[in-house]
Amino acid sequence: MAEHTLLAAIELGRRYPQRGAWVRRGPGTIPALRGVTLRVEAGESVGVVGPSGAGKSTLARLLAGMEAPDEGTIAVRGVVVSPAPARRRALLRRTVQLVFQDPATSLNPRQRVGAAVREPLTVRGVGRREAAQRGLELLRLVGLWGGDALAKRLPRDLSGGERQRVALARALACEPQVLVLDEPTAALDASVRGQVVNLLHALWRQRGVALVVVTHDLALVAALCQRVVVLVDGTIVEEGEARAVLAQPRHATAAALVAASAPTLRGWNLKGCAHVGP
Amino acid sequence: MSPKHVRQARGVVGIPSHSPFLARVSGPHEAPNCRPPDHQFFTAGGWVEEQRGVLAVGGQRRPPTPSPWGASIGCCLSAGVPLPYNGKVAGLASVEGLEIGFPRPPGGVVRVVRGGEFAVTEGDSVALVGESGCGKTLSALALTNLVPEPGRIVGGRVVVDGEEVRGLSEARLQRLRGAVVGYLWQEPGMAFNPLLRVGVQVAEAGVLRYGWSRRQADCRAVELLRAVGLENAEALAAGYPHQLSGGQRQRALLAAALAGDPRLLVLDEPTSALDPLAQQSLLELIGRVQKARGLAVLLITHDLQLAARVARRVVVMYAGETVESAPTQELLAAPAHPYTQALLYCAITPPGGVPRPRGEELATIPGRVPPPEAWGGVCRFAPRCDRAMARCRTAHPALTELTPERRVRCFLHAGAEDGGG
Repeated sequence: MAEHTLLAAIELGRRYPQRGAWVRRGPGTIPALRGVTLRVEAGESVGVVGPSGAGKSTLARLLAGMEAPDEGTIAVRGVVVSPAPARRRALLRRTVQLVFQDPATSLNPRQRVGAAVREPLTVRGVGRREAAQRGLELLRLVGLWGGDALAKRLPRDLSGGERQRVALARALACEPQVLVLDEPTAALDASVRGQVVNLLHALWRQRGVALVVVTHDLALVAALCQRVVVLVDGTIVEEGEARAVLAQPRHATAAALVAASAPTLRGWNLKGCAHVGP
Repeated sequence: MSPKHVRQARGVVGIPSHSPFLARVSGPHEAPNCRPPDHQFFTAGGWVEEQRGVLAVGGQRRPPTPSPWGASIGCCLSAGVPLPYNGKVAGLASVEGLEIGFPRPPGGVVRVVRGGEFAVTEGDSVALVGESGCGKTLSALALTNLVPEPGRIVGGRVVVDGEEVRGLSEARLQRLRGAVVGYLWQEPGMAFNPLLRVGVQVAEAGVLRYGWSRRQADCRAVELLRAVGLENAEALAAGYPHQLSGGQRQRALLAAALAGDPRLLVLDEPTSALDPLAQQSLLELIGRVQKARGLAVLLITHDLQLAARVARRVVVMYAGETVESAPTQELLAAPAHPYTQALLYCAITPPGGVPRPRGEELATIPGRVPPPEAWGGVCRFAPRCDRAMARCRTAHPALTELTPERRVRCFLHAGAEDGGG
């Protein structure tokens, strides 16, 4: 089974050191993840939801190879890549790319947009001229048509939605098969959120990039994901088809999340506006 | 506060140094329940004097009285001292034709807010809605002249509690801050000083307004933290901000904002850093606090949906000016300005309540908010507007009254006039 799965995280565990511990060596004592198993098939879109502190971001970092799990393994098409020696970990980095929540902080403020997108290419040994060419193609792919003029701009000259699209272009430069998105729209205005959601959907549908969307925005999951995994206190408490889980959550915390998101999931019910005022 | 500063303060009000009252005051901290007649506090703005009309009875110990509200909000009113700040009601805060300018190196000034208009009455809830960079936060900061340096208010009227804010001295402004207008910031992690204990920061506004002693401040801080629904308040008050979770910090910040018993609470994107569960409970808490205290609320958000949940009136800002202002229900049912309409349709779940099926394109507003240099004398939304006419590109509409409750800045509506600049 695992041989055919694009990305398989089996029984992942991750512990962090106790707060204020002087010696931060070895596994810590605070469990952030416990026995989490998540399989992502090629071209699939999976949502990971849960309240804050449930371990969503830890899972994203483990899947993207930014940290190694304390327990369990991550395998790409059956090859164990984490924990593993550096050479095999590189396979994970090629396969999975992480996009962070806030493009304002994830992009280097002094690096021009074009250079930011070219960087992963040049690191892989692509020639300078070809990298420039491919960089512009990537920017066009994410809907930034500004060409050379845009490539010469700094992140601060772009809007939030444009910046997040630059971050996506950079992640796509290594042609990953899985994109892990950690709260991709949380830092964006409602007016530009649609740009990023539409783009992600197009990438998923047209290019077959698998998506792992880590978020607490259930409306985003409803708009993007086929399958959803509910993470509470470091363990998966519910898993299933996105629409079914959002319509009828079984676990208590999942139900509370859905209930709390009702205004955003159901849209505006003009009569139901809960006005706080007198 | 050193004895020297207390001496200076005495000089200010001219109480003779042989006053029997002062003779018994050994210092503000040594006799915690005996208040000197006036105080000085060192704040970010420098030394600030506070004179109060109410003198504590010299020498008598005044233990903090138990709150008549029990554990509910409003406990601070039991502090035994002042009545509400000025005794005035209605028209709590109003902003008209607000202009905020930042110096631009070769001698010029860029006005980043030009035409901000909104009003909040006592006990009302108003939302300022718009994309980032539209001047929402700056306009709210202008209420207490907290516009960050080197920017300042360069035009328009800002009236808070019956006083024109622009001409006020720093000392008078300091009284508005916390005591009339309380702020709840977007990033609870950044709003707290990481080096000071939570309790000290929660009680600060009360210390400034009521002159709480250290012991009283500690006591009130715990009471306030409990009142915003935090368990284990003693431990939290004694701890540092980094020891709190995001939701706890946001609640502690709310407690801090309430410590000075403000009448207007400014909420700047209060829930954007929180998960839905924490969001829901914070909104419910704010609603309870508002009812219990008759607070007015000014919510700043880019999310029209959140505004609809909280506010009775919505003021939409675009590119530094107010473009529409209406009661929430009317605005949602029939948005008058094309920008408001566009914002409404940007939600993942549009009005009408049917969630968009997966894969359907979401609406966006093409382009972006123009920079202040490009505002010119034309409609600022015209480049992104699908209903722009020739007139929109040659003239700037004024904010026009549609009904007594509704105003809109758009030529599509009959009677809209050329607003100049």
